[in-house]
Amino acid sequence: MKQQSLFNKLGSLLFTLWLLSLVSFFLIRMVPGDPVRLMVGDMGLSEESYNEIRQNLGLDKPILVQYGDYIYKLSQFDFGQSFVTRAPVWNEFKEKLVATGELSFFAMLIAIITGLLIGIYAAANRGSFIDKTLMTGSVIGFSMPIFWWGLVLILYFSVRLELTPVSGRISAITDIDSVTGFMLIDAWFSDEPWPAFKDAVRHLILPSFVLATVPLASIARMTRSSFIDVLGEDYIRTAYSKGLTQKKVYFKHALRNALLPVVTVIGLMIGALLTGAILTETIFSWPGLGRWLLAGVEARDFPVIQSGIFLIGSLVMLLNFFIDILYKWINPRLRV
Amino acid sequence: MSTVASTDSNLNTKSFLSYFTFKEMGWITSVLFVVFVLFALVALFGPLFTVYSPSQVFNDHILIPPFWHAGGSWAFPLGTDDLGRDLLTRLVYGARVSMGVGLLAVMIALSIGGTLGFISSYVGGRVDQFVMRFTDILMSLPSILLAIIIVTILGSGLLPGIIAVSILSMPAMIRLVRVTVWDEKEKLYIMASKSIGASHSNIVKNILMNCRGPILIQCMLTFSEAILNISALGFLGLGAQPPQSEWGTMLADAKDYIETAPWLLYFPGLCILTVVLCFNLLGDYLRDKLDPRLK
Repeated sequence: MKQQSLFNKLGSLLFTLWLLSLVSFFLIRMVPGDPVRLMVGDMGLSEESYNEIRQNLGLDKPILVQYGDYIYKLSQFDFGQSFVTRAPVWNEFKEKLVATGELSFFAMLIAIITGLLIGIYAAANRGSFIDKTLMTGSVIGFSMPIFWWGLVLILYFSVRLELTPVSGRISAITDIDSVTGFMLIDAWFSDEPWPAFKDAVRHLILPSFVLATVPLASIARMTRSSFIDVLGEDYIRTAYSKGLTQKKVYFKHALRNALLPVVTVIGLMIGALLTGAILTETIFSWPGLGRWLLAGVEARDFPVIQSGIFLIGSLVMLLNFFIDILYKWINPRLRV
Repeated sequence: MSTVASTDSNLNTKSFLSYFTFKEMGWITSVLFVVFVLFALVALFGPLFTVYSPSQVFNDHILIPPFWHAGGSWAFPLGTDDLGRDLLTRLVYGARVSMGVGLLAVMIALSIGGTLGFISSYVGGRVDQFVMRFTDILMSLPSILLAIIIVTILGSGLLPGIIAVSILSMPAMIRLVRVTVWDEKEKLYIMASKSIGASHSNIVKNILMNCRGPILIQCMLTFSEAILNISALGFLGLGAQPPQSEWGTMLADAKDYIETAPWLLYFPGLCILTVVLCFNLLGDYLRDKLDPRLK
């Protein structure tokens, strides 16, 4: 029973991935504009060399053959080469993914920890002034246009108070070799670990806080309502009547059950997180996936877009798949 | 038990408008409601009362601060931008764009997404599977990326922006309608009406009547999300194009002047935040009213 359902799930995952490849392949080809002409720019190009370039890029073949090639290569985990840089898309994707990943990871860390604490605190003081303030704050966070929020924070923290840098991942004067791609880790391997690390943190803190705003607000709201639900259950009363302290009841008995809906919300947030990341990267000139894809769309760089969209889509789906499993692990009732 | 509850709600023809009386709402929600109505009125009638036109350029009044700052004047209550256009006028016209886009997005999402969701759950089987996979894909892509591609295909501008924004709000609408209708069609009273041979149109009408609460709330969410998305597109330079005044586009212009002219940054953002916030809170309020257990 369990085997089959997992099998079914994998099947539908594969089917969705195939649809995704279809969408990503044909969507970018519907965009008006010729990649070769855009590459060359205003310099003229003889008909001959134009055709030669198209042939090199495989653009002269019928579109269905191109799609066939694309699928064949995908099945071998070959994601093609960028038209513009001629570098394998996979390498570029990895590099950008790590940058976006670092930003998103810290944003999620901030959002989950603060969101849970705020939600639990508000639930424990339900109806009080603090609860109302926190919840009003979270609706404001939830409604925040983050591109504006980012600019306001830059104005206060970077321009007026000069606490944090305005853009980028690390100061240009700091010389860092890329070992893992995670700036915070790479900083430790540089010549001056501590100043480099501090510099990387100073670059990271504002963008990750901006990106964390919306998820933080929804996690806080979700945690509060689910905690209030759980606190009304019989087993919580039982736990209290055993003489357990409030802390124990909250963190041992209530939290695990209250987490269930929160985990689902976090899973649904991953797609939205990437949207936020694109906007945040634009504001803070963070060299991540968002800016990479935007540039790809502008240059009509077909391989970058089709594989980029495919990879991001699959990543989100895979993460959701794992969150499903995590969900079952947290909730033993679903494990049957 | 569930039959009793559903027959009750079946008879409940109380209009949603009756929730929006001051007595029912309490003062906080009333304030939000009034603020929102004000914004709506400004969007509808504001352009009739503005002195300037939104693209009117005053060459000798560039970057004038709001009236309470030194150097500000009542001629330009909220100041002027880098080209010398009156900020207040542009905000008023921007309200029209944002609210209009929100409304259109809701209408498109509801008519197409709602219908798809309804068919998906009412017919079930393969149709349902297909629609669900389709929404899976839409949901697995970062929405702004999808919007960017759609806008690039259709060409930048407000209309492509509206289409993109409506497509973005589609999956959530499809899913919500599907789930609500699914719950409803399994209820005993529907089975009972089927067993006495009620027509499809009758059953569909009954289901829709009882699902309108959650659907209305989803529409409110769609509205506020559409406003956020269209301004994000405008901010990236892909939505409304320059001479047109739209809050997101205004923010994109303000980006280069945050140090010298912060008022250009504050007001458009505050407008977006206020409208979205009011709508989200009113949606919350309505949800609590319709389903008190969630409070």
